[in-house]
Amino acid sequence: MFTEPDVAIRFLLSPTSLLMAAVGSLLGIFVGAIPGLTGAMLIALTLPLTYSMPSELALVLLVSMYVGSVSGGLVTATLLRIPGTPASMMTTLDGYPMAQQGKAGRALALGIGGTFIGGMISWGFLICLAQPMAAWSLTFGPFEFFALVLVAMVLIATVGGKSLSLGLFSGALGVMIAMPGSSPATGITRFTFGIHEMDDGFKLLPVLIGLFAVNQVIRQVLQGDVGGDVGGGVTEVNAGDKLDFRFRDLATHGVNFVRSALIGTWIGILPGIGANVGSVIAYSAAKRASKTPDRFGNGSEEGVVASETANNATVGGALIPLVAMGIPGSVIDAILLGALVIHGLQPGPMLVQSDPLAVQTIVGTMLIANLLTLLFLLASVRVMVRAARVPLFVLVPVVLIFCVIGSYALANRMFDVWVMLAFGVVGYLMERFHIPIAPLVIGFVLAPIGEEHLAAGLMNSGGSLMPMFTQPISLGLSLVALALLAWTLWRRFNDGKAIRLPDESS
Amino acid sequence: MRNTSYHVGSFDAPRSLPWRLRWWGCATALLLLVGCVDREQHADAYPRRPIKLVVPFAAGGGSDTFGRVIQNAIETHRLLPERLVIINVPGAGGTIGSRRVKHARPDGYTLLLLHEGILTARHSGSASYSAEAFVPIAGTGNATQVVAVRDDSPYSDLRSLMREAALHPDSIVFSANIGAPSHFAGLMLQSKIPGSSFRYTQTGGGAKRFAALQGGHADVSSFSIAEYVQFKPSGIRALALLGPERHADLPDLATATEQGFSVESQNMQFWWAPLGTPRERVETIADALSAAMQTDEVRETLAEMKITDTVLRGAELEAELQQRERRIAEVAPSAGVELPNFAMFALGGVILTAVAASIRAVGRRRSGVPRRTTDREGGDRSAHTRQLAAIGCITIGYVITLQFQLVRFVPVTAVYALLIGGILLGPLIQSRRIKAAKATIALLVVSVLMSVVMHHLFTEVLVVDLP
Repeated sequence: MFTEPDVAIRFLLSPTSLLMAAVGSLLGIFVGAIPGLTGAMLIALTLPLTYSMPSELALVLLVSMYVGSVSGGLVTATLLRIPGTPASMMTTLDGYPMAQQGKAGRALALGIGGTFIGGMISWGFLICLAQPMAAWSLTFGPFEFFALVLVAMVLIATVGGKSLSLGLFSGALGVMIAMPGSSPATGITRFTFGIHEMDDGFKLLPVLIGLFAVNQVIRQVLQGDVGGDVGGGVTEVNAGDKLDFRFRDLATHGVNFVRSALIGTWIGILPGIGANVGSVIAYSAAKRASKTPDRFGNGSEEGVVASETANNATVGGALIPLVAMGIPGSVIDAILLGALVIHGLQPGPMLVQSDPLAVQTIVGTMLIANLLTLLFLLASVRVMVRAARVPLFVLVPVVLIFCVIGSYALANRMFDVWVMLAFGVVGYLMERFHIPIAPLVIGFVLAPIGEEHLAAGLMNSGGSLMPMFTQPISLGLSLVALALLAWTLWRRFNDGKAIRLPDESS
Repeated sequence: MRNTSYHVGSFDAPRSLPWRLRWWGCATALLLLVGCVDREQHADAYPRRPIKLVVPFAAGGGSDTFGRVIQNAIETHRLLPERLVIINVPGAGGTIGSRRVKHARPDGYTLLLLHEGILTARHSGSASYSAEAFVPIAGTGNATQVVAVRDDSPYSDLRSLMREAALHPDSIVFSANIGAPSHFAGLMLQSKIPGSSFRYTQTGGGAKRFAALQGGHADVSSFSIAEYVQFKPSGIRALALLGPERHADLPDLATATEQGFSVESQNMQFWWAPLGTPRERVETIADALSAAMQTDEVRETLAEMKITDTVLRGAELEAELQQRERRIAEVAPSAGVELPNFAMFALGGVILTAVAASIRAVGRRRSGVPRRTTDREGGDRSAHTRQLAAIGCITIGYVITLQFQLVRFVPVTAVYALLIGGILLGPLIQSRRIKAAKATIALLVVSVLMSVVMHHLFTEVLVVDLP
C-alpha cells in the first residue's frame, strides 16, 4: 500500500491540503453538533463543489469532513442531551447525567479521548489489515448478518435499565415503528393506511430528533429549568467545566477503549451497518463487562467512553472495504465512492496499484483529520460548554427551529416535521411512564437491517431457515444470542431482586 | 419526570396579561408587515426564476450525480438564463419525489429526473401511475447492463447459464435489487426460454451484489458497465452485454442478442415535467439539455462513468418510452418465496411485551412497592404546563404556516423565535431575575439572526427547498 509514501506525505503536509483538512474537520464538527444536520448531508452537498479540484485534494476535504462529523455530536449529546448525529445517541445516556452532576468537563474529556483513541485504533487496522479483513467480511451472507442483528437485538434487553419487560416492550415498539413504508425486502408498501406520505415510513433522523431534542425541550420547560442568566451567573454546569483527562484513565478504561474500538472497527467493516449500531453494541458490551453496570444510564464514565470510542472507530472500519475492495461500508462511504468515480479513479481492489496516491491520501487524511479534530474539540469545548449556560428563552427557540428545519431538509418535505413533533411527545410520555427510550431507537434501527437480511436469506434458500444453523458463522452467532438471552434471564430471576438498579430516566 | 430534577424554583409563575399582549401584538404586526410584501410577479418569458429539478433519490447517488453533472454544465455555459436547482426528495423507490412533481403546478418550474424506475414502479406495485402521468422532456445517457458470474463459475457463456436455468429451474441464485433494472434483466432473460427461472434474492446496490457473488451467496447478478469494470479485477466475469451492440470499453464481450437471446437492459435518465406544461417550455428545457450533453466536460464525465451520451427527444423519445414500457410489462415480476409477515410479528411482539410489562407493574403495586410520586411541588407546575401548551400551540401554528406556505420562511421564523422566547422570558422578567431591556434585545437579535442565517445556510449552502 505504501510504495512511494514520501510523495503522499509531502502532498499531505502541504499547506493547501492541511488547510483543506482543517476546513473539512471543522465543518464536520459543526454539522455533527447541530441536530438535524448529518455528515452524509454535508459530504453529498460538498461533492459538487469538488468537481473542479484535483482529486486528491477533494479526497482530503471529504474524508476529514467524515471524521469530523462523527465526532461533533458528542458535545451536544453531553451538554444538551441532544445527539447531534445519530452516532452519538448512546452518549446522551451517560454524558448528560454526568453534566447534570457537574462533571460536564470530565464527560467531554473522556468523550474526546475516546473519539481520538477509537479513530487511531481503527486507523491502525486500516493500514495493517485492510486486505484480509475486507476479504473476511465477504463471507458474511444474509443469514450471518441476520444472526449478527439477533445478537444486537438481545443486547437491547440489557440497555433497558431497570425493568426487563419495559425494555423489551420499548424494543418491540421500535421494531413496530420501523414497519410502515416500503418493505426493505420486496419494496411493497405496508401499514401506510393509504397515506402516500407514509410510503417511505418513518425516517431515523426525524424520529431521533423528536425523541431526544423535542423531548428534552418539553422536559426543560416543564421543570422550569431556566438555564443561566444573560451574561453569566448561576449555572448548572459549574466546577466541572475543566477538561479533565488523566493518564490514569488510559489504565482504568484501557480495556474498554480497546474493546469498543475493536467492536466499532468490525461493525464499520460490515456493509450497511453504520456508526450508530457500532456504538450501541460497544455500549452494551461495556455494560456487560462492567463491575458497576447499574451506573450505566446514570452518568457512567464507561458508557461515554464505549459509545464515543466505537462510533469513531467505525469510520476507519468502514474505510477498509472501500480502500481494499471498492465496497462502501456506510452511506458516507458510498458517497466517497461516487467521488472517486467522478474524479476519474477506479475504486476496487486494483485502486492500490492503479492509483496508490489516492489510497495513501485517504489513509493519511484519516490520521491528520483525527489529530485536527482532537485539536479543534479541545480548543472549542470551552466555548461549547458555555452552550449549557445559554438561557432557555434563547436556547429553546433555536433548538426548535433547528429541529423543524433539520427534519424538513432530510427529504424536503413537511411530513418528516410532523413525525418529529409526534415523536417528541411520544418520547416525553415514555419517560413519564418510565419506559426507556434507547431500546426503542435500537429496535427501530435494527429492524429494517434484520428484516432485509432475513428475507434475502429466505429468498436465497427457497424459504428454508436451515442454513442459519448449518453455516458455522451464523450458527456461532445464533448460539451467542441464545446464550446472552439465557444469561440475562437467569441473572434477572436470581439476583435481580438483590441489586436494585436505579431508574435510567431523567 | 423524576424528582432528581435540578429545579431552579425561584421565579413566580403567574404572568400578567399585558406582557403576553405586548408580545402577541408586536409579533402579529411584524408578521403582517412582512407577509404582505412580495409574492411572485407575473411572468411571460421563461424562465424568469430558478427552475427546481426534483431528484427523487438521496444526494450523492447515481441519479443525483448525473443531475449535478448536467446542472454544472448548464451553469458554466449559461445554457439557461436562470439557475437549475437540484432538490433531493428521496424515498419509497423514487415515488415520493415523482408524486410531488406530478402534483406540481405545470408551469415548467418544477421538473423531475427519474430513470426506468418510473416505468417499473407500477409493475412492482409501488405506484399507481407511470410515464403517462408526465410530459417527457428528454432521455439522456444510457447505462448498459452486463450479466456476470464469479470467476470460478462453471458457466462460460449466457447459453450454458440459461440451459442450467431451464434444466433446474429455481436453483440458480440471482442476486438483484428487487424491482430495479438488475431484477428486470434476469426476468427478461428467463422469459426468453420457457420453463427457465432464477431464484431472486434481494441484495441491493451494485457493491452489495458484487459482495454477494464474491462471498458465494449468489451465482449470478447483473451490473452496470461502470460497476463491472470496477469489480472485474477482483474476480467476476461477464457473460453477456445487455445492449444493442458491443461497448467500446468491453470490446470482447458479446451481446445477449449475439448469443441468441434478444434481451436489452439499459438504464436511461429521463427528464419529466408535470402534465399540462406548455410545449414551448418543454422545448426550452430540452434544448438546454441537448446542448449540455454536447459539452466536453459532460462527455468526459459520462465516459468515466461508462454512460453512453445518448440524447432522445420528441417522437424518438416517445417511441423509446413505449418500447421500454412494453419490455417491462411483458415480464411483470411474479411472487417469489412466500415471506413471513414481519409486520404482524412485530405487532405480536408489542402486544406480548405490553401484557408482560403490565403484569409486572400490577404485581409490583400489589407487593407493596410504593408508587413513585411523579409530581413535584404542585405550585408552579401548572404554570409550566401552560407555558408548554402555549409553546406547543405556537409550534404547531408555525409548522402549519410553513406547510401551506402562508408566509415566507424568514418572517415566520423570526416571529416564531420571538414568541417562544417571549413566553419563556416573561416570567423571568417579572420576577426581576434579569433585566428586561437587555434580555429583549438579546432575543430580538437572536430571532432575526436565526431566521436570516438559517435561510441562507439551507437555501444557498445546502440547497434545500425551504417552505
